[in-house]
Amino acid sequence: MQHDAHSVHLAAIHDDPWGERWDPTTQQHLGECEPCRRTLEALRATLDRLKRRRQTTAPASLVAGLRRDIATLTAHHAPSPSVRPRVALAAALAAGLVLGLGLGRYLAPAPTIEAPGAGVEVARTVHDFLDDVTHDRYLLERTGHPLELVTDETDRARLWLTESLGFDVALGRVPEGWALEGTRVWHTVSRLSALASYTSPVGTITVFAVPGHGLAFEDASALEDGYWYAEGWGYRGVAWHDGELAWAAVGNTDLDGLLAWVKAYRNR
Amino acid sequence: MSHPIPPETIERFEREVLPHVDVAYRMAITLTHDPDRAADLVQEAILRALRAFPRLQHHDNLRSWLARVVHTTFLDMVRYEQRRPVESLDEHDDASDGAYGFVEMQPAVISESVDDDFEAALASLPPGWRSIVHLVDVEGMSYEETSIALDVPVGTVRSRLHRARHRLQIELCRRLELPGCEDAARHRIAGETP
Repeated sequence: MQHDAHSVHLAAIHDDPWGERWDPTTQQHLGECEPCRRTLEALRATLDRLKRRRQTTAPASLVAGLRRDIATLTAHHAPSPSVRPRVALAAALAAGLVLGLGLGRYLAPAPTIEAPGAGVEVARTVHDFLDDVTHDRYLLERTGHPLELVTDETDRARLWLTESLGFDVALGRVPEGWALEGTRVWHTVSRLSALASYTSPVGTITVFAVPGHGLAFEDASALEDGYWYAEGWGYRGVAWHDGELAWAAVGNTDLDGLLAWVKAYRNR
Repeated sequence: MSHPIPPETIERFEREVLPHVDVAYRMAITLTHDPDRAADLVQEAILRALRAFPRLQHHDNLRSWLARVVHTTFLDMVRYEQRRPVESLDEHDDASDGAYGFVEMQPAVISESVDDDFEAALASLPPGWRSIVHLVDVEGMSYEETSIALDVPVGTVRSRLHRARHRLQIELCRRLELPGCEDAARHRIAGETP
């Protein structure tokens, strides 16, 4: 049996099983080819079976739970404005190629510098980044703080992240008394990101690193020397830009403690 | 500065997004094949959606948008479980497209096949293909809507969809132990002419 002779028509059948856009030759072929007709009928039966899945609805308990979650988040965990007295808006912009569409096509525009010819509708800011990572930390706590690689070896974690993500994640080394717990790959601002968790005297700190191209560093609270700050979901986050990556550290310590942690982390 | 989610935004989210929770749940079932995991997936996806909702510019296709959040959240879940980069979950079978072989089975057999076989056949598809099959063949989305939902070109939706349908047929054929399946599978994978 010369299946190749039928390939074009079979492809048309799989592409359009109900024949709405068939070429007349496909219809003619079906009239002459009994195996093709059986294939088509079997495919239609499969699709009918799939269509019946549409009768499935979410359990009422799930919907009620979602409404409770939303109500709880609204009452207790929604991000709150936090402005330090000496805060001023910064205007450091990340330049370069805009990466990853993600949810970007739906998002409101924000000032970013795009590489010539990039033409991608990504509008992300450091505020979005901090909003996301504080919520990510909240989600991680909810899900039991799962890590993909449990290790206290910085070099091993860096290698694993770099191999997983395709960009170098130069994790900082922590001073005595602090410890790396492990790492995992994550999505933040709709980009693949690195996540590393540390224990320290000021509590658990979660560090995120994402490709920083196209992130506008101008709508979050600026601290001194290129650090940005925001609170959300019960956590504080400090962001900075280092090479091609945007970084953030998130914890529930006070801001001074978190900033000191970040500076020590970067200096090592 | 990080902003609170205004009550009116929450109300709008509940009014505009929660009505699509059935779509999210069905997609989660198709992706996870487990009601408990599906519920966990929907819960996390809804939280992510709520987080992104204040920044939404277009509210005209929230069904596709929510499907996208579910898909992305699922990939995070799988990546955690399988510990491998997410791209491979969607892309690894694209290159193996060959000519099409026959899958000779009686339609009635499919209609009557036990649920486990059907679910197992569906589960054998790569996640990206499963999402496309689900959105087009279960939810009835157009290729364009599916393209937006999964952030892939329309042409990719089309090509992955018919490959996925064909693969589904082959997997069903194998699981139901019908004659001719191996020929079809070999033809599909190697591009041979039996």
